[in-house]
Amino acid sequence: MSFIDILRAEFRLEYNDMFRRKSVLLMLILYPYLFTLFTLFIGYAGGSPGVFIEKFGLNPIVYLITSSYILMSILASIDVLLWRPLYDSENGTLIYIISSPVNRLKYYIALPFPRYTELILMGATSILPVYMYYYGLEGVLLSLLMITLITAGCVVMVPFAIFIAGVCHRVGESWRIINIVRPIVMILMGVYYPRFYIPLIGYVIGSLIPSSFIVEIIQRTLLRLESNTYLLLAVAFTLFFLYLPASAWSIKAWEAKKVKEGVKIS
Amino acid sequence: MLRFLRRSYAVFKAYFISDFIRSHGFIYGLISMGLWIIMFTIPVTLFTPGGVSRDEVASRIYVGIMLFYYFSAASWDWAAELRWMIMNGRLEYYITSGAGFAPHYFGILPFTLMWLCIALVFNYALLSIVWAPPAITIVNSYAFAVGFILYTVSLIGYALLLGSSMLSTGSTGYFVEFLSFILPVATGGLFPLKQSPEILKTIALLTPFSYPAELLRYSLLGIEPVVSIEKTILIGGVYGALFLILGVIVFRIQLRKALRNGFPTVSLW
Repeated sequence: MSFIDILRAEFRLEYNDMFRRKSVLLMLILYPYLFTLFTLFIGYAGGSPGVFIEKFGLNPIVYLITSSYILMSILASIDVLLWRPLYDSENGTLIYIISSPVNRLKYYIALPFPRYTELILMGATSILPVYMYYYGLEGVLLSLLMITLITAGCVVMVPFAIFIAGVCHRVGESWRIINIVRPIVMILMGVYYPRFYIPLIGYVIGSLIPSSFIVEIIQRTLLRLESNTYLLLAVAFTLFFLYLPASAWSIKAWEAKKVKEGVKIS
Repeated sequence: MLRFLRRSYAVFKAYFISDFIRSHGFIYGLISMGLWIIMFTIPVTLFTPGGVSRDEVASRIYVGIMLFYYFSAASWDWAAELRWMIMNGRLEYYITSGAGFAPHYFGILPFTLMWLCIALVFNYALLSIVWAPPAITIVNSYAFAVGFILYTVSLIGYALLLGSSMLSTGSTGYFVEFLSFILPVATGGLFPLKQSPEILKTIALLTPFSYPAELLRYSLLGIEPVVSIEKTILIGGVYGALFLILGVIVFRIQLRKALRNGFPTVSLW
């Protein structure tokens, strides 16, 4: 089975599910706004948007909608990798996948592709209107740049997510572990609180996550801070390639464990 | 009565053993929720002016978290419980047993409150590490008691309405998640209404949740509500009671309809 065949199957699965369950589509559009409102109003508990503007010269709504869009995009694309082995296990399809001759790395790399197209839709309904409101036509270009960067951020995250999925699913109650790993990754990536403001140790640990460099580029661009864009991009893609063998090993080891102990239906 | 209590105890025991003893879900859930809360609250530093004391901000965040958690408990522990029952095929057994839902929820209630207390202690510790120890003192115990009771009443009304939608349409997990995020924001649960934009203040005051939330904030932080205390208690009490009655009526109608037409089939989150 070629990569294109896997992609076609995944697109069909994802889009059929989405059109069948309109609530998923609706939530995809609403989530960035929801999280923006949530964080903005928590901000009101500690101060005011005026302080934010004074500190950064940027409207907090622009910053927070971008952060929420980053959060949702990266979560949407890594979640499919983190949760799919569990769903397959529960649906009873895991045994077929394990016994199929499909190259496992190819398979897992193909999984998030349909999500990339969804995150373009999400960008068009979240950051595009907000940027246009605040920046006019320039906002269209800026949002296109952001969508491109975030898509790159999601792509470089794939081997890292496969690696994490393989490691997490080797222990019991893995879905609970995944629920702990996800927010840690998001905090370290500096989705809402730029990682260049967190303590050095956090910055160093966060540097192990490929997308954190892309998120840094986005935030520096928005806050009009100096950034070494090409270097940060280069590091992100280097990490992408470095994690590839680790992710292949991780999935292989997890599958070997499953074959040895048998697939549990939980 | 004894049978009712025995049934409630059986429910409590089952949930307690399942979540506290057999699995470590409770601990994992706490850690996960705490981490998400940290992620969403850290940006508050970007909004805080230089001269504001850290523990004062931490206290405001903490009370916001408290109200948010209670809201979440009503959404997930009470309303969404009906969905899990439909999914697991337990609902039909409850109905044919003739016991009704009351013993089940009476059994869940202490479990919810225990979870809430432990979650609040855990978040207190987390906030103390990340931000500053929240300075929580009960300034007015009468306002606290009234605020807590009125908030509980409003939340039961809300859970009944949401539960009705589970019975009639099998509302998805996405819908519940959306509501449990947006309602605490829109009803002034996260921050003092005094500091909110005019439009949000108006929207929040149109809901029954804002009055007890303001009372709780007043009793714990000393922040005066936008409406006088007496009026807040009066409006909150009447509005909360009416909301609860509405919840009961809608729930009964939907339950009757569901008994006639059958329950929706739900399998996905």
